[in-house]
Amino acid sequence: MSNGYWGKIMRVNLTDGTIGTETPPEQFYRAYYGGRGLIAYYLLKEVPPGTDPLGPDNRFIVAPGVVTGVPYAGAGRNSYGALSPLTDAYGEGEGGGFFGAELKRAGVDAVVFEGASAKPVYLYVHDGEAELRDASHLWGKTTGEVEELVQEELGDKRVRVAQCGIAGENMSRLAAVCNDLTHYAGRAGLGAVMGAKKLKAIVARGTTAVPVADADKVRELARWMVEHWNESSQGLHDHGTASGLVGLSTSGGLPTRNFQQGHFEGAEKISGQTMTEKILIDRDTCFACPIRCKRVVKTGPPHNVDPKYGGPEYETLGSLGSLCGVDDLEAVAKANELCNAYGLDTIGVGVTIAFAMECFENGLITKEDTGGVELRFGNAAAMLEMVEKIARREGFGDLLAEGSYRAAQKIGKGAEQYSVSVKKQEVPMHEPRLKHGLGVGYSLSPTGADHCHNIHDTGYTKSVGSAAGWGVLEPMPADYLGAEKVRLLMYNTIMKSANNCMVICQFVPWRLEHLAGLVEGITGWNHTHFELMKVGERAINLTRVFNLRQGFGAAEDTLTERFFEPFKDGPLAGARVDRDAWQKAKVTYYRMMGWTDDGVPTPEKLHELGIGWAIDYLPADARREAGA
Amino acid sequence: MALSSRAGSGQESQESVRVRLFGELVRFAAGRGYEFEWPLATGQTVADILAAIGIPEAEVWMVAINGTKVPGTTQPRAGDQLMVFSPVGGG
Repeated sequence: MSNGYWGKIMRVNLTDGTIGTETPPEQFYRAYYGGRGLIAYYLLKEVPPGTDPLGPDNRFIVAPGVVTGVPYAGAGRNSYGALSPLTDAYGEGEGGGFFGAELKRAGVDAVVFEGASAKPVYLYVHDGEAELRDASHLWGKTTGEVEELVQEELGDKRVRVAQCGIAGENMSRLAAVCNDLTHYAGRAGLGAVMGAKKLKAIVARGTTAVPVADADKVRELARWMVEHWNESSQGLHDHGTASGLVGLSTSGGLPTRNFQQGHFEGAEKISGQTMTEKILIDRDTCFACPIRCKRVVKTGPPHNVDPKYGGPEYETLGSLGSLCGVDDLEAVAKANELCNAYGLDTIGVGVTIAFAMECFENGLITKEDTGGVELRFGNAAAMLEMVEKIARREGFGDLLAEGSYRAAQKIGKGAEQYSVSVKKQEVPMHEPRLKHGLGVGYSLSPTGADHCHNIHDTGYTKSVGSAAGWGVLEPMPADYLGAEKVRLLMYNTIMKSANNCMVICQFVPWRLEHLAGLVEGITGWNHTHFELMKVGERAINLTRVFNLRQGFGAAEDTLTERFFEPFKDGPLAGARVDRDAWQKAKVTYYRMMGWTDDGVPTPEKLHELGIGWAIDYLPADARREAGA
Repeated sequence: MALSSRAGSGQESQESVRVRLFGELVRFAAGRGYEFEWPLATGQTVADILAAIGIPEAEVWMVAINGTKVPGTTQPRAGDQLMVFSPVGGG
């Protein structure tokens, strides 16, 4: 009997409404775990070049991992994947909450959707059974309304709902996938893939415990975290992910006014600490997690923020706050509520609005374009109006719903310089002129600019922490970009890729040995940290092959030009990313990964990872380059 | 602020700095919470104060006085706000 997984991957054809099951062998789960590994495997095998991301041939994949559904801190997370309509490359995002665990407990390891339905539908998975149900009555409804209607319709308040929101229906390339109303797989525009397929939601209800090989070992680890989390995560519990916002501003690394500045005079007004004092009414959590880092906020007039949509994360306070020059905490909380109600990526939306604000202030667009909106930095009302317009694709919002990269192409007149994006994905709220390794990580990320599977250099300036387990024994400056930093970046990307295969939260302070112990305790495999890292590296290589086939190689591993220019003022005045050091670091990363100087995995590397089969999926020029 | 509140003015018994801890440093505050007054002795540097509170140097990413980043050798003045930050990731 298998442990940690069911051996069942559900296949749903939305065109003809058929539902089937694949039963991969144990080796599949051991090689890929789930999450990113599973998504990359299926996309590589089934989504060839030329596929329309918003067409029926794209796949939409829901993927928990081999450790999902077992109660321990960090297990409340699952992945989504597709060819991204935002980047046209490998698309993946993770969301927390309870949905992934519920899906797993319903007897399914993953769901792969293909085709497109003629009318809105949702998939209901319950204890090994699955059915497609009409969702016409849910179309056009907010996420909160949909969750309520589905729970009423099924007569069960305990069903968990993942859905695409109105933004996804409207195929905004900034559309997110929403778990349980307050948890979002925001990046890569995956909500638009659901909308294009007329797949409104996936609803799960499961009552079967996931089989575990060594229940005592898993319980012991889970208990360890319950007893120790507050030694390193008390601030996260108390003030949420925005507990560090003031520090970033003080350092000069808080993205401000579309990354023109790194210091925001209104930082204290939108910090996690201020949120706690002013508008926090509760702390929320994910499946089996004691940390409770999620915020629940409520305000009175004029915004009347609804607590059912949680509260803003750091990324949201940055992107819709400082990045737009907005220091009105309640307005940012309202923008967060709107994004959650409509199903939008708060990072993508905030960066795209900030882009438009810079275009407006430089005269590239006017009130005639914006429908009369004075789209200037600091105008909270304008920011809120644009969020609504993007979600509904109304007026100027129709253009911004395409994301900043495509909007810039359309606007022209040099607007491209104001789109702060990598591989067309908007840059999150971490500044490469503060964290230089992270800038290289933005360039290399398979999903475009991403802070989750990346390094945060400031965590290694005084001590190396858990990186000692990788043999990195000396701290190093945040602006250092030599080979030792690249090595640390590489280990970080591999480790976080493994986390996204398991799928486990990055915030829970598990030690390296604990992670392998969790996989071992749950699956029964004799597991080591080495094997876990290999799973992560294997998945990165599959995404790399996929992206090469999509036409994304070394030339597309770029960084927004703005980061090569110095800050004009603030604590980091004069700081910039050194272009030569960045370029050299990129090539060093390729070489350390066993790739060619053009970023192509060599046949030997793919064989070393046990995925020699992927050589056949490299495009012909890359195969020649790699000597295959 | 009165000039007499400057460090080294000889009125140490009345003088203090306002300490604000950010991120995960509260665990070193011995139950004082995220914000508290800390007595300021003549000639004390930021590093001296952090050591006296019990915050290990390796756990501190950055220190600021009244919002401006400073090195550990800086001598704060009475009434200053001493902001101490641990490294931050994402979210």
